[in-house]
Amino acid sequence: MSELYQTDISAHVEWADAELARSGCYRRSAGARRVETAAGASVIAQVDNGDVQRAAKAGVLELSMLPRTGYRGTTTTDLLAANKLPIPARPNTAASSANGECVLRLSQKEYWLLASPADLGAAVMALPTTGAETPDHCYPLFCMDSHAWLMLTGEHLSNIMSKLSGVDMRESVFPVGSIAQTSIARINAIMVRQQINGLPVMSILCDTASSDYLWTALMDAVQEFEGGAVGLDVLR
Amino acid sequence: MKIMPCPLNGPRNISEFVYGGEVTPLPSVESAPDKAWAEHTFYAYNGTGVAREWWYHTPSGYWFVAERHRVSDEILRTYDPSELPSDESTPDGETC
Repeated sequence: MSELYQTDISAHVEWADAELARSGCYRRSAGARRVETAAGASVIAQVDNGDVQRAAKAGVLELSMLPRTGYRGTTTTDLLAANKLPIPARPNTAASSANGECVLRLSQKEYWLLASPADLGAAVMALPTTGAETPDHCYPLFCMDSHAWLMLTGEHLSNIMSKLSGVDMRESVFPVGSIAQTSIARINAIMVRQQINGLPVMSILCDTASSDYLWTALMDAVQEFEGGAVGLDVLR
Repeated sequence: MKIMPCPLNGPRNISEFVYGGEVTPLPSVESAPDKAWAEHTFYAYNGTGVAREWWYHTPSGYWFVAERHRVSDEILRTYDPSELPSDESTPDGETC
């Protein structure tokens, strides 16, 4: 039986005692080397020496503790422009900043920001978090609490997504900067195609409560492509 | 699988959507009698023809309007609520 389906994973992970915040699937990565993000929690930095090879084929990352935020309202574009962040031209598209943040435009007036792996989210953490700090008619969204952030990497992205979703996500029709809000492995999620550190990647944002299930589903899906879990270092 | 063309996200499986009832004008909050509110809340048209309905795309949290034929179940047209006449859109005119 694959180790994915083991039921004897310890409920107690020593390093987790020191952290108030941790991802929904932290027990899946008990042995990995970790790095602290700007949010004060940790993500997997490296699983083992095979990370780079696996990431090039079909890697799975768990980035839920990497900062992200969102804003909604008619003046959100003013806030983005003031912080020198790009504004995607239309809903369901994304754009990257010079620093590596990814700005997602999810509807006419809703934008989410994903942290740059390079600064471990320091720039995103510096953005306003309360309505008092944002312009009128611009409201912060707490997508770091509501959504988990998983990521697929490597050359087999399109093949893996075709196993999980009914939406065509081949690069020819779903290029870098495309967003799909749809169901994947039977749960709702937001998919964004990106290019980070020369690696084709797909960020997947799903309901936090489902992240452990989706992690298992993704790990299952990458098996046939000789993929597996990798750490954040492959993005830096 | 039946396909619904979402105005924001494009064609998606119908399992991603939730039906939100018929598009009907809201009675006047200040002057409508109880009977008008009861009819608005509990009565629905039960005939044939084209229905104009609210639908919700769950993965993106997006409400929109669909015109559907009640007999053939064919989806004729979908569009953003901002295209509705002002007296039939959401109470504060908010769109996504």
